[in-house]
Amino acid sequence: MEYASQLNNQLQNTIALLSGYWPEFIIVIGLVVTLIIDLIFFNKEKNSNWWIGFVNLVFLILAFTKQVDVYSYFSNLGEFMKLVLLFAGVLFIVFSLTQTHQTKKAGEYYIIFNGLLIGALLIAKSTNLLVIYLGIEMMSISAYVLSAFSFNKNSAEASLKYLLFGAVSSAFMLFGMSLLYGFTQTLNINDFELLHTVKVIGDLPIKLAVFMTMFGFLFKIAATPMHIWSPDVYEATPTFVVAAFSVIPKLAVFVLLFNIADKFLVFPEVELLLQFTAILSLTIGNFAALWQKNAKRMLAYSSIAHTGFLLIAFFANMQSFVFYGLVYLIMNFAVFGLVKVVEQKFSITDIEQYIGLGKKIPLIGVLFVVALISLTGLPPTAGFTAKILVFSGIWEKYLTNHNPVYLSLFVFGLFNTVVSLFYYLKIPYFMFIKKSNEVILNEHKSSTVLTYLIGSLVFVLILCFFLPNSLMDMIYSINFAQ
Amino acid sequence: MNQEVTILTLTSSTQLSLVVLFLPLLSFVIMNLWSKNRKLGSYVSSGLFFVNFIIAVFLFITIWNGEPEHSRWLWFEIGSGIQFTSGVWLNNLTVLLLVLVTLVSFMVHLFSLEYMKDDKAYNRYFSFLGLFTFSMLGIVLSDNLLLMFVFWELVGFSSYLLIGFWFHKETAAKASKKAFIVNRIGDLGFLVGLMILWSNYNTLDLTTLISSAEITDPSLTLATLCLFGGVIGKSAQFPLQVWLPDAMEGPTPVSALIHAATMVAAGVFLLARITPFIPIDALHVIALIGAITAFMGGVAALRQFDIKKILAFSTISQLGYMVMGVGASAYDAAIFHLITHAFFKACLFLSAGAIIHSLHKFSHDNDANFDAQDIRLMGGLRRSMPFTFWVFIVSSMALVGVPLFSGFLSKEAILIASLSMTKGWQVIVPILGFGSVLITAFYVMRMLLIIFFGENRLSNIINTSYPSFSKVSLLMKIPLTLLAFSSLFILFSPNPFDGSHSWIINGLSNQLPIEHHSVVPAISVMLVLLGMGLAYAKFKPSSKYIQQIHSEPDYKNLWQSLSFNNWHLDAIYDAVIIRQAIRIADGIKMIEEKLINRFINYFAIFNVILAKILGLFDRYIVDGLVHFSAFASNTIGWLSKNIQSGKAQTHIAWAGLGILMIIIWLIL
Repeated sequence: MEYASQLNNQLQNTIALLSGYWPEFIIVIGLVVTLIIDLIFFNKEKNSNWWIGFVNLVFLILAFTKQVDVYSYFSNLGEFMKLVLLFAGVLFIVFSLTQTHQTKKAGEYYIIFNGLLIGALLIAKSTNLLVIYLGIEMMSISAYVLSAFSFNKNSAEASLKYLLFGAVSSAFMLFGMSLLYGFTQTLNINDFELLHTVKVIGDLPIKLAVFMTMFGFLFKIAATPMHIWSPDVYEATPTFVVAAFSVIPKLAVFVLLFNIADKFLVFPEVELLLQFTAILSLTIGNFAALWQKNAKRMLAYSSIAHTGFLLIAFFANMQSFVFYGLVYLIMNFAVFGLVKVVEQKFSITDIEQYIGLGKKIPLIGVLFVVALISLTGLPPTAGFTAKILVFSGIWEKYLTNHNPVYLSLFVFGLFNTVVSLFYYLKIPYFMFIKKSNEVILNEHKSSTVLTYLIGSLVFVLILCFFLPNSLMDMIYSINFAQ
Repeated sequence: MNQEVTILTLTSSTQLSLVVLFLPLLSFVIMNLWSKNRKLGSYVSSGLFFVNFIIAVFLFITIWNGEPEHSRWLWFEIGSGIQFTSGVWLNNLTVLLLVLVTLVSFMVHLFSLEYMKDDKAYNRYFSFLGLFTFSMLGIVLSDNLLLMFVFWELVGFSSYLLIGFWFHKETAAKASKKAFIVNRIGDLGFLVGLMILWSNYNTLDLTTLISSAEITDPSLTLATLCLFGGVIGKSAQFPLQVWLPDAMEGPTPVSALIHAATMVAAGVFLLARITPFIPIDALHVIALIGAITAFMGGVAALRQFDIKKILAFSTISQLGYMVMGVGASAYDAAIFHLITHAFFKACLFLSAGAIIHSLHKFSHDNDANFDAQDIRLMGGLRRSMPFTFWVFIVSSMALVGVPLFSGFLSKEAILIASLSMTKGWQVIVPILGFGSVLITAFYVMRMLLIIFFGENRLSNIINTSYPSFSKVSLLMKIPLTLLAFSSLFILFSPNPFDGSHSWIINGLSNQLPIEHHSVVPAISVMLVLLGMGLAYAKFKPSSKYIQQIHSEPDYKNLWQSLSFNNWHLDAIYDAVIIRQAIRIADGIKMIEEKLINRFINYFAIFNVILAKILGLFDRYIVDGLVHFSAFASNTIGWLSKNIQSGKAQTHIAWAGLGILMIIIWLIL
């Protein structure tokens, strides 16, 4: 009898805990419903299925509101970032909805995106190696498919490259994970006693295992040396998908890094690896971006560089990371949205073709300037505030531990901010300053709703510079002690 | 010095009054958003104003002669403890003005539906009306002087928009600028007054000021006179009355709104609000200014030929009466006159608008180019526009102050009050007051005779048969009828000869009602009869003057010129202020050109030389560094770019190499 009641208690506990998974449940339900609707009602050849996206949006918003409840209950970093991820998901679908006539195979498009989102949410929450692996794979596989959604040769090629590269890094990661399981006899990272096992096996094998696992993570955040896939993929993938790629998996894996930091970063080498990666990503991302002629490719490198900044923020403190992550989300969606608008209006993505566009579409031009200034990190935009927080955080860290690596993170960060100015301002330079020889471009209609959406995002960027308090209050509501 | 500010919570009445305040703003927003559908938008906004009027009436019934209601909340805080409040204060005075403003605004809306029908910027017009009414209601509801000042400025701004509504006309653009600038001069006084009050009492809240101000304090005299400066600007008192005649460039319904019930009334309203703490010396100055204005305005109205100009100068004159009333410690009588004047003057303006509208349409339809506002070209309109004629007569009689009409009651109350000032120089106040009665009767009679009686003189100028004007439409008739009805005595007092027991005066004053004189009405009625008689003698249809009037020049002698040009005030200001200011500006410009520019030139040459030297340094040393860093950046970038060759296998190989290197580093 006693056993039965104990079991009952356990079950009750489990069910109570399950309520924290409502957002994920809702998305799964949404996925299934969308799938069924798509199968029953839609002809594969027809493209304009706006309301299937709308159904999906309703589910996502539902999940978002549920997540607000969950967050108010747990209020830790993971739950907060899930909120952010869901927000990014909503943004993505709203953006896509403005383009329904162009979205091919809309049913699959939204379904696969939901898969990606579920993967991200799982990663942000879990500390179990198996779930992490499943989450990462779910995210990756969805991403491979999504990157082929332009349905042209380039897109297919990029997707294949992505798949191959992802498979290799997955293999590394899985190998590392299985070694870890072998050493520690558990899949739950919280139960790891890595330092304890060092005595038994020696530290090299364990460090190797941790490193290999880390490579899988680095692949998802596109950090050097696992960044090589991103420019090709970014260039050929539909622009909104790129916006989602550059934000959702990245932020999710960063939360994972925070969750496992106290177990994995006990080895100074692992910390050094991440710091080294930060510096490399910054430098390579920024310098390679200088050479790019294609706007999307340039933004791919810029996003590699931003991974470096996020890593610096990771080492500075959680608050500055959350702030930077949020601002990064907003400005990335804004910039990719703008690239999409121009792409749609004039079917161009090369920066040199942007010549003289500032006079033709002044509103877009101004939005571009503000968003890019924010990406560079200059006032009066939230990008500046975010960078200030990161740099002051890392400087304080340096003052307390006097570790020269922190100083070099600081110096490289500042230096790279200057470098980034050159390529970001290339777009405004072409749009506004350079004299054009009156190249006649065919102008198509583009969605005004999209422009207004981007306009409001840009407005938020400026607002967060002048009134960062509300955002900061939100961030300080997170219980960082966990 | 910090006093704790008491917060007073919202009551249902004050909440309702906020609704009244914001509905016109809503109309402003709607008319801006809904700019495509002309008709629907304007009807919606007129509907909003009707609802607003109804709510105002409801508030009036709840508050009038009941408990005043006051809500106040913290507005903002400077530093620690310096708190500014804002709030709503509803008492008899507030609700009375609330009803007046909403009613006249609604009437003007109705009238404008027809009057502005063909205007291109129809929607802009209605949206500005909304903004204007919003600002005016803000003045009425505010419970403190700072908030009132904010709305005061908003009124100034929105009147600028309305007067310059036809901004493509140069005269209109100039008139709106003039009104704006002249008002700013007065507002400077207002602002200084606010500062003095704040530094002495640490509050601008009206109720607190009334209870705490020491009436013997000499700085209070200064402060209230400064506030009166604002009134001089807004209510067009001497010497700042010059903006009001020019402001007639706005559409005629706007003139009715601005110059009858709202903007110019704001000054008198402010005086009524602060009257409990105006020291007696200041009151005397106020009375004197009011009397002078009443007289000057009346004289200037004598020799005008533009129908709207006549009404404008008569407005100035009547405003002088009101201010004089406040100065003679009878703010209740002043407000009474404000109310009656609002109705009959709005009615006069709107019927003048109807005349102009018809004549303008006629000139447009017949391709005849003549000035639709020139009374020399009117005459005999009694037959062609009978409705307008009767309405005009009723409201004119109210303006003159003939018994049985509302103006008589309120004007008597002011004149009786003015009799309290008989010591020394003060006697000039009642003398000017009574003199203006005569003048008013004269110019009103002149206007009536020239416009409505005799033969139509249009045929003297252009070759057309006797014009048959278009009928006044129903939308115009409704407001005209209502306003004309309100110009009768019955609405205000049961006794047509005694205004001192009118319910308005009883409701406003907490002192003993003004003693009823029988001498004053008798004198003023005699003056009225005298003035009208003189006018009839000169302007009767058969007189020689009228026979020749169509070729009458603007003025023929010095006195006529003085009246026509409004005492030459514009010319005096031009000579004394504007030209001097321009001379000073020229002098400063000279100094700038001769002295500062030369210095700057030399400095610039020096700079160029310095820059050359720095340039050399820059080119060889700094640029060298930059070129080197650019070269280095490019090289690094080229290297990292070339890792990407586009082949998947190489990608993976490079990544693998990276991983391998890191692992090797780890092992070593």
